[in-house]
Amino acid sequence: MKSIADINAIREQMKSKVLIRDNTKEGETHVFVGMGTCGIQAGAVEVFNAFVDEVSTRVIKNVRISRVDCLGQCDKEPMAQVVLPGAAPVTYAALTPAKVKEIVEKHILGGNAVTEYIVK
Amino acid sequence: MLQFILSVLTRARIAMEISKHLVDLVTNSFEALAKHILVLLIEDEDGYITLSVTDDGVGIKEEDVDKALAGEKAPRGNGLRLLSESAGAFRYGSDEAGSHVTATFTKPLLGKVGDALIVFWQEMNITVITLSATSPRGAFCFDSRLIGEKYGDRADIITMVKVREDVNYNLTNIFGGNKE
Repeated sequence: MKSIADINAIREQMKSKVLIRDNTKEGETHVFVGMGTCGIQAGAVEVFNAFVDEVSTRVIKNVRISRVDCLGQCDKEPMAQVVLPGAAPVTYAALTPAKVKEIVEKHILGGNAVTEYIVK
Repeated sequence: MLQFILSVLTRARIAMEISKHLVDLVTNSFEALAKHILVLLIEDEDGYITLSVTDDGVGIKEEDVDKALAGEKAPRGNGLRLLSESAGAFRYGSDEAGSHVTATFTKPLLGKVGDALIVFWQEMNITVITLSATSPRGAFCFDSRLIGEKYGDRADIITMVKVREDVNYNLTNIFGGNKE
C-alpha cells in the first residue's frame, strides 16, 4: 500500500514525464462506471479505482469519474462509458484494470476509442 | 455435477466482500434521497464484523424489500438479497425518520472499504457520508465534510486517492486484513 507521501512523489515525478492533455478549454471528459449490483459483483469497484489510478498518476486534467446505476447489459459488466468533450459517448464492456489502462492511454489521452472493447 | 456447481456458487456468495455490500447499501441510501449516511463497521471480540448503514432518506417500501429479498425484480433494494445470504444475521427497517440496515458477518471478508467509499465521490459534494470503524485494536472515523480540511481540494483527483489510501490503511490496521 502506498502512503500519501509516496503518491505525492509519484505525482510530481509523472508531471515531467507524461504529456498532459489539458482540455480545460474544450470541456471535461466524463467517465461513467456502471455500479449496479451486477457490476459490483463483476468488478466495477476495481474498474472505477483503476480509472482513478490511471488519471491521477498520469495527472490528466479535467476528467471526472462517476458512478452510475446498471448500464443495462448485466452479462457484459463491468461496463463504463467514456464521453470526450464534443464527442459521442463510447461504451465499453467486460472491463478489467488492464483494459482501463489501455482505454485511458488510447482514448482519453489519445482521442481514439479502443474498438475491441466497445460493447457489441 | 449440478450440486457441485450450486455449492460453489453458494460459497462464492458467502465470500462476497463487505466493502462491496457497502456500495449496494449506500447506493440504496442515495436512491432514498438521503442527506446523511452513517456507516458503522464494528468488530467484536469474537472476530465477527457488523456492518450498519443508517440514513435519513425515505426508505424502501415493504413490498419492494420483500421482492428484493426474494430475488424478484424490484425498483429499489439493490443487493439486499445478496447481503441476507452472505451475512450471518441481517435486519432491515425503515420509517419516516429514515432507514437502517444491519448485517453481521461471521466469516468476514472486509475488502477495500476505501476503494468502495470513493465510488461516491461526486455525491459526497452534497450528501454527508460518515464512516466509523471500531475493533478491539482501535478506531477510525471518516467524515466527508472534512475532506477539504484533511485531505485537500475535492476537485483534484489526487484527493480521492488520498482518501482511499487513508481509509484502506487505517481499516487494515484496525481489522487486521481479511479474515478467512
